[in-house]
Amino acid sequence: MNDEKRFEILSSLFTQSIRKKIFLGLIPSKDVERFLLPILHNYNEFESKLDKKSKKKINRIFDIYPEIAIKHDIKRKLSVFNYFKMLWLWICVATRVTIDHIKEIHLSPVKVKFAYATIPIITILLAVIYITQEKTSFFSPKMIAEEKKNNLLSEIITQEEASSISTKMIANLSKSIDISKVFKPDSEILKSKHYSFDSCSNPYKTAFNFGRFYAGTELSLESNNVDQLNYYISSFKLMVEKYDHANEIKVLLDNIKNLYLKKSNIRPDINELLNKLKNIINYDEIPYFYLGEWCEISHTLLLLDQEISKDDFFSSKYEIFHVFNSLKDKKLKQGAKDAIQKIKEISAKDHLSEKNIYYFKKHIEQLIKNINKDC
Amino acid sequence: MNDIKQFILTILNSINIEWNYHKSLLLINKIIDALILEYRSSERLLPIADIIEQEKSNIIKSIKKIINNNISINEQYDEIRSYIFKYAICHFPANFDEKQFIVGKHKVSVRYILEDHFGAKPVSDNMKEEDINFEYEKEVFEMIISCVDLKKTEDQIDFFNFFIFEGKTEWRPKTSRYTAMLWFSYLIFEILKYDLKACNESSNYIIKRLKELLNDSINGNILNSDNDGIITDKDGGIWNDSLFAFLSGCKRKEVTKKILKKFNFGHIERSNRALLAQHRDCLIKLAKKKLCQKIQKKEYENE
Repeated sequence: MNDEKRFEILSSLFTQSIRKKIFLGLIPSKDVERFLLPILHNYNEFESKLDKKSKKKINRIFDIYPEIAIKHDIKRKLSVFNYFKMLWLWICVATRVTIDHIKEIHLSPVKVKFAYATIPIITILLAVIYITQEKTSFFSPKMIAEEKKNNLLSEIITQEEASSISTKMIANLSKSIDISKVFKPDSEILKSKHYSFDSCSNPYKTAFNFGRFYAGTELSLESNNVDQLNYYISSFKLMVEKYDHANEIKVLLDNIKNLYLKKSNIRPDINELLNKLKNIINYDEIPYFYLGEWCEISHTLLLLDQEISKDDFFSSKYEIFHVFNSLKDKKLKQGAKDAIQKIKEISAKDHLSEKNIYYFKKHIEQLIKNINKDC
Repeated sequence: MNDIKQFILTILNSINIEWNYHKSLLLINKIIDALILEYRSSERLLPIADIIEQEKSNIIKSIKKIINNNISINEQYDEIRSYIFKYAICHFPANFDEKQFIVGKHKVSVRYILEDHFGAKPVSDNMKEEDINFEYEKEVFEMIISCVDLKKTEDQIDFFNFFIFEGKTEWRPKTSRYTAMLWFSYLIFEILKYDLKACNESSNYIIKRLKELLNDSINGNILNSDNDGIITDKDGGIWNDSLFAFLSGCKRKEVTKKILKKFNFGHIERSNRALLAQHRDCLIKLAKKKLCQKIQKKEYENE
């Protein structure tokens, strides 16, 4: 080995080590960002002077660390193939969402047929409006909303993880009514909630009942209903028994109860319970959890002698229909499927008449019973 | 008319929500695909690539569960990348020795790494090139990034050629400067580590010490123990384990001379190919900042 090589061996080994770690995603994002910083403000000029192989390498870094490209608004060119792939995906998403919305409004069969026939045109028009509005960078991974701080990952959390339907429903109800006055202890309500549980259980039934008990616990805390809280907490404890984290959840439930009974100013943190439950529920079963939450709040509301409006059940309309739609291809007994269909039909009505309310309650009960019957 | 407008706006908003959700999934898909390609480029990591490829849809599903909204965006993505690797390791068949896939598991002193590579053949069979994990690697990397001037696009290309692109087609004079910066950083670290006074002294003292030690290495004055056991090593032998002792071997005399030349203390070397005063000052300042606190903390703990 000559002296030149000996002089260079340190840099050769050092850069090799750094390179390897960058490309395996082992270097913290902040360090990579600091490393790339000098080129980020004039990236286009920099990239234009690179050869093909180097371009590929720098692009690979942005593939592995996309947050840096998003943060610094690095617009990356798409190949024609990828451009059309993305366009096709957008059209699929737009079509599906448009169909969902059309289904939600009450139209005569002729109008529905007409609407379906015009969906492709509507979608293309929407695409044009969407692009020309320039509210979002269409194909580059940049967020529109400033408050989301360019974090696309928050989209996953918003849609999949952090949202709790019961929290939103209770928050919506509290706008129009005083929840603490509405949900007074009522033994009749509690009795009617004791649906029989058999020994058999399956993951989606468990997720559904977890959702119900979670919503019930939250509702009991909001409405200061000790009896109801005791009922839900003891039901929870029975259900979590067979899970690895049973003790953790039991301690958490006791903490919630104790903190509540102490009547201290510190509000029990129910979100921790939500996170723990979602950790034990399979990802595929999450929609059943949401359905359980919705059923429990809706059913409790229907059992009360209260003036209710459609908005109390379908205020975050898109979300509950998103849940219904995500259950479409999943295993559900025909009875449960029928109940969901009937609930959707009622939701299309302008107002909830007394008759509608009666059937609405009946269908929700049918849904709960059918899911709990399933083994 | 207002109702139709409202209806279209509602649909647009829903599409927007749904589309951003799909974009976030595409983003994660892209990260996974890019990592698979990189793992595939190494024979040793090939099984990891296979597992990630097989388990891709499950990984994406479970990633959604680990995203923690309470940490910074950068950290969220860091967690995702490390999760992908951990997921693959956890899903190996039971008879696999997962330890072999841990990248850069040992932090090794620069002296040990150089000793292993200075000969024609690496001395140690255990240290494959993929395993190399330099001691103070992060610190040195950060120091160099902070001390180079990368305002011009040409300089940026040089720098990225050196670190990322392995661009060897065209000889770039500044590559020599970056190599000199690496040697300089590690030698300064050695001074701060072994000369206990150095942390409290000025840059001039450290430069004086560095020149003196390099000259001693060239003249073979670092290790002077004679056969009778009388130790006359420099400064009572405090440098015996240092990089200076490694450079003091007669075979390394020429390399040491070259290193000294590239440090450019006399401003003789053509400026592009060697260090300038500003680089030296910057590196010393940062090295002191990064290392002295650690050394003092260690001394305090030892007491």
